Amino acid sequence: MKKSISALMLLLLSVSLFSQLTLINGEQRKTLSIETLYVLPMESFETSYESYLANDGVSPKKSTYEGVRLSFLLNYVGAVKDSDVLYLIASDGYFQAIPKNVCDGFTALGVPFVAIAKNGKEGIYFAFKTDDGLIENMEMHRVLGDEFSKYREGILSASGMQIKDLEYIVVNWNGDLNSLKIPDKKAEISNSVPLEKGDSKSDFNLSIKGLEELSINDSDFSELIRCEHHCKNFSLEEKGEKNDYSGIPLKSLIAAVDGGKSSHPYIFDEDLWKKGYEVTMTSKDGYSVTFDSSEYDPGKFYLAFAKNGERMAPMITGDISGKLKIKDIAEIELSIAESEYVIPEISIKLVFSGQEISYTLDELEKSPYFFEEEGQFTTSAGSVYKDLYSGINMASFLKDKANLETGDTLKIAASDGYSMDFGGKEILNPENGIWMLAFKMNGEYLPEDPGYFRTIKVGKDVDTEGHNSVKMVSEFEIIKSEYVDFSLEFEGLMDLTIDRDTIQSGVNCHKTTVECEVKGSVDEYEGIALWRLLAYSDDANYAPHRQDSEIISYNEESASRGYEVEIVADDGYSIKLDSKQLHRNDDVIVALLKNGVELEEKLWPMVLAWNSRGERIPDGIKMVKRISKIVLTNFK
Amino acid sequence: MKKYALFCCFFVILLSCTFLSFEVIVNGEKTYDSNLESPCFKSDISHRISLGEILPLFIEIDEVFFVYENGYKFEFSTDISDGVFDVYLDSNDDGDIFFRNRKISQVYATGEICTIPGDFLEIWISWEGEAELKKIIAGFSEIFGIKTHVLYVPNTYSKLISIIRSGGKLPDAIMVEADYIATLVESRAIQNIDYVADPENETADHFGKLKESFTLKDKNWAFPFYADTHVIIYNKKLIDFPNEILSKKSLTLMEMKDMGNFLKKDGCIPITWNAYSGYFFIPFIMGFGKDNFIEEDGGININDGHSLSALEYILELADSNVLDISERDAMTALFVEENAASIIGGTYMIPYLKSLGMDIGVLHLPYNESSEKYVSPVLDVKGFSISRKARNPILAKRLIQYLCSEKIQEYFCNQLFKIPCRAESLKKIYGEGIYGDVLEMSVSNGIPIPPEKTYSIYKSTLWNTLRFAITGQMTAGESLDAAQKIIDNNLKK
Repeated sequence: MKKSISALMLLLLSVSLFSQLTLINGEQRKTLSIETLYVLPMESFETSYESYLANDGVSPKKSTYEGVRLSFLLNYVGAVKDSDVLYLIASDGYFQAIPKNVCDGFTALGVPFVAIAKNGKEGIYFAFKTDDGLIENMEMHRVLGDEFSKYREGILSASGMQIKDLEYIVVNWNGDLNSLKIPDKKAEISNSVPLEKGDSKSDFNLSIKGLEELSINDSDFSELIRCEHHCKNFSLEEKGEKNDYSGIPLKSLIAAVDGGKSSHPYIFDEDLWKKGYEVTMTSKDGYSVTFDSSEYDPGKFYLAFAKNGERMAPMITGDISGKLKIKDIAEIELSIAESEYVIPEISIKLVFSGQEISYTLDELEKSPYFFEEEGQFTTSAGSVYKDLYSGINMASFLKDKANLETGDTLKIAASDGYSMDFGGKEILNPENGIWMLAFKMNGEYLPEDPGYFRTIKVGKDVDTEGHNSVKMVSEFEIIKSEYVDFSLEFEGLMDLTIDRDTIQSGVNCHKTTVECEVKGSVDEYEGIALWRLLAYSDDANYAPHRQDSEIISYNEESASRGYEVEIVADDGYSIKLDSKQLHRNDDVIVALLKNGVELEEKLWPMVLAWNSRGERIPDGIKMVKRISKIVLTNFK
Repeated sequence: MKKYALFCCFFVILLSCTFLSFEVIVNGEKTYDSNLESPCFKSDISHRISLGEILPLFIEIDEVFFVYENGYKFEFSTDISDGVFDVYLDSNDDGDIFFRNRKISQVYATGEICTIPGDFLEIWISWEGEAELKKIIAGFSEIFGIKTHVLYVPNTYSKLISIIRSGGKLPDAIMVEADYIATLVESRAIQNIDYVADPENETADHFGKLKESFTLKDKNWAFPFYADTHVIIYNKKLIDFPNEILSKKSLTLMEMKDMGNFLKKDGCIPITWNAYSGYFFIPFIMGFGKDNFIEEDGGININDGHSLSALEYILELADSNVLDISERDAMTALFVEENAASIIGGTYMIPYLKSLGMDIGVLHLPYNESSEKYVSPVLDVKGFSISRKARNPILAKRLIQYLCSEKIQEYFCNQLFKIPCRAESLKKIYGEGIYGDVLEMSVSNGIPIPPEKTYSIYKSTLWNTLRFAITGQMTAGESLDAAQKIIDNNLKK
């Protein structure tokens, strides 16, 4: 096909070097070479015309034409009024006049065309394309009346409407052929060009993604621009010059993927465009830009394929900012696919007084508890993360919905199994910041991890300890018993005290369960392996999570060499164990729960328990209730 | 009368010389003259002024020319839209502006100006220099009247991926490193920047090598901003290198061993580095003769003679107590506490060590006489990418070009002891002394971290397997063999 087009072009250049068509509408004048006409949207058709001999039984002869719609060409010279008459004038002065309404193609004469070939013979012709391929004399008369119909020997003759060597199309011509001419016709022609320039057209491939996906390759595109309905001419002032473009309105391409209508002819969903979605356009060379559709007039974007009559690699252009003009366009992506911008329909469960109520993210966002504020949290390694959070005020929400009181405990559970207890007093006290159940960070919904919900304290100069900022929150449970804080003291190579939250966080991350038999009673205890806690005090430099994650705070070497581990109860009772027997021994734990519930008072807050059936039960181990301190001594 | 006319004429000329000695005319309108104040002339970052700073930010410049005081015109023949920050003007105390020593009276420019009314440019920054970068970008914002939102993000990669997954709005420019590139390209988070004129062919002299960290499948994905590298940092109080060593800016491997044996007699740890890390192993592999770290097929081969010799050398140093193998924090502590005389560390540590008052010196990594190659430092390049869904990609590009301009490079890299992305800036920052020489040698002999995913696999694998060799659980050969198998299996996935 490409070869045949090239051959035809060579022929055209050789036989009709100066064939040209001039369109004139008042002051506006545009001359097009035959080569320029050829690169415009082209259609082939067959038409026959009755002649004055029709009544004598002479059959009309069919001719094959290839040409451009007249209405398309008129775009070059501005608006033509309904009352205007167009004159199609041959180089010898012969002409055919047609009222503007005939140009629109809805009369019995069909669609008027400017053809560049008739039966394979090049030239500029005027012809009609009809549904049945025939123009009868009476049809001509019905449409054009006496004034514009053609006669021969006083008989209607539709074949007289054909124009050969068409040179001018003039709106409301005054009949003076000389008035149409300008001194140097050649000087006016600026657009005699080869059909294809380099390889600009050969590897065109455009992908348009929205609710549907459309892929347009080179041959699809050629077909597309042959259809006049898709193409428009427009002019742009660029670098002080006026350039004429031919192109397809971008909206007619977007129409195919914006979900408005799934079959041709597509309907552009202008409401959706105005409502706003992201349009990302990417060039073959990598340049990419995104804009919000609602900020731009869709009618201003074109996929242009010809500039000043020269065919060019398709580009996005129009009366738009230079940053949105994309040469060698390769991809257009609309963010209207269902997979994008879907607010997760997830909810959070509130458990209190035997009731369970779920609230969706959407409900919470629309609730009066919603607010935005800057918040920050600090990881145990010391990294600080400060961002703008949006979510609900937990205190107001829980007070109103579940009657949270200062004496209550709030258990916050996460979907990954993590849970954390807070005192109602802590949540309800706004003095050191407001507790927020956040679901947006810096204006964006939180993804599943660390979202969809996350707790954080917000406010000026407020910081949340990392383990208190619970990620992936799925449930709030109000427990009508007071949250009492406790701590665990360490003495050894590093002396420090850790609080309830830190211990609970440790248990959450390294949960260990053992079955411990004491005095004939077997119970299940849940907590953290004792050896993990030794890391807080087994060297002078590192404690868990307080330095680069590459550094392991637990000193294996030291534990293997041996030191004494004394577990001390709040009443002073203690036992001593050997670190060698505790080293990586998950059978010995510091427990916080017994049989799934908080420890009874005589054991609370922590108890030393072990797996009675374990293989590595340390020598001399005994249950230590109400643990308050761990002392590491006699390092070897 | 004649005399009066002449006087008037002279007066007019004098007036125009005095009050309109310099003006900038953009798209036919005067945007600046000597009587106005422009933020670029008040900057405390540098007093040098680039052409880009006296013009607005253009999408594309159609035409730009200077008119000299004698009326002659100098027109830039090529499109310098992407190079305006590399054209410098000089000024004197009288406020006169010069280009190539000729006084300019006017600058004319035409083209479409880039604006973002009601919007802002969002930039994510990371790593060292948060305050300095924020200050520079605030200056850019003030000069051009562009609103910017700079966010310090500890891990730009994970935040970007998280926002893509949640369908949120992406920033315009993001600071990245080589490790991030493959996944960011795969997830279509960043745009390829091949459309930007290659500065190497224009007015700027960039370290082309740094671009390798961001070149994946022959396409460029980020603009190099600066680099860190490995050097030997030594405590001058504990080591006094002879001039011979200082003049060649490096030890040989043999000299390093000798130095170590000498120092350990005093109970001092001669040298320490994190030999557990594959990151520190690359320099030695290359120094022992390997030509390409990433093979042509995209794989990594560490089960070869070069790697084995490298590992055996490291183990031998450790066995002879010349080398103390410690992880980053521990080795820093040993050095700061003056228990170790030297470390192989990143150049980013130098400002910190100096801030502690330590008298330190630097040397290039050692020279291997047998392979006739230097132990090649890794170049850890940081750069800026433009997100694929940037709303203001051209402005983002202009900001990045500003950040990579000579003047900003010299300010930023000087503050943070970084290797600038521009070759001509290196010596201007560090002078002709040993710092400049060592850094120049390091860039020349260095290996930019590759952007391929293979590198991440290599790094995580070596982190585990080198440990086996160092702790004696495996021989050097066995650990490399095991590492190769793991790498190959991972690459097959």
